[in-house]
Amino acid sequence: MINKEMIFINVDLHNRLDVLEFLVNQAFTNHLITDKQTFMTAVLNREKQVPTSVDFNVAIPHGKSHVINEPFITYLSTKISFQWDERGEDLVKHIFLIGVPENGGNKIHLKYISQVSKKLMDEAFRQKLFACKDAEAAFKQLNEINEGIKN
Amino acid sequence: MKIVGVTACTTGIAHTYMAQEAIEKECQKRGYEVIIETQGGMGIENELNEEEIASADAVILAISIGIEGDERFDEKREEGKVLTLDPSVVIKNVSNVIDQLENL
Repeated sequence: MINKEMIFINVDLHNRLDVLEFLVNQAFTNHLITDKQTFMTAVLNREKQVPTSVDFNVAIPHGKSHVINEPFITYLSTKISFQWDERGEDLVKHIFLIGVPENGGNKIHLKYISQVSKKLMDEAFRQKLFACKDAEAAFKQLNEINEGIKN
Repeated sequence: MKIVGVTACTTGIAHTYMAQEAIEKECQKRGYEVIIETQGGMGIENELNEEEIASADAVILAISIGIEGDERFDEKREEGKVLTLDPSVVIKNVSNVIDQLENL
């Protein structure tokens, strides 16, 4: 679902492709995906349909593919906000990359990711998460959502 | 005012639930009754029944794919009470979307 190794705070990257390549590489290193190119293509195809920037400096790029073992979500914040897609004006600073297996995968993991998505609509939660200075603190915020599901 | 609706997106993992949350929050803020069905990665949740749909003043379909049970809204459609939009539009401009529902 989410682990500390897949959270990156204040990264010095300035465009969508660099951010996605960085995260896809990390996902591969952490054994979340079995093939980088296939997943990258799925994510970029989704962006082509409609850019996944939503508002409040957030984007949720995602891809569904057979190269994904279990549903996962990663979080990366950049040092400065940047234009997510040339077709829109959305500035993005907080990126949540989501991967889902072709067949959907573990329902509890899916539930967790949907809960994180919902939480991002909550301004108080965003303020707390976006104020985190390091991966440890951000992980704590994001993992609290996890506890809520288990109980 | 009573609003019902369905949210669904292609991957069924993020936008479906963000749109649900956005609509529910804005309706609660305005003191409206609201029920939103989600058709996503975890199947159909909060499924709307005929009675709930019939008693609604307006229907919002925040969908980017075809949905199960679309015919349930045919009657409301004939009355001009159904607004269909992409989930990302609803997430970004929810206040404006609820304004539109009020004026159907």
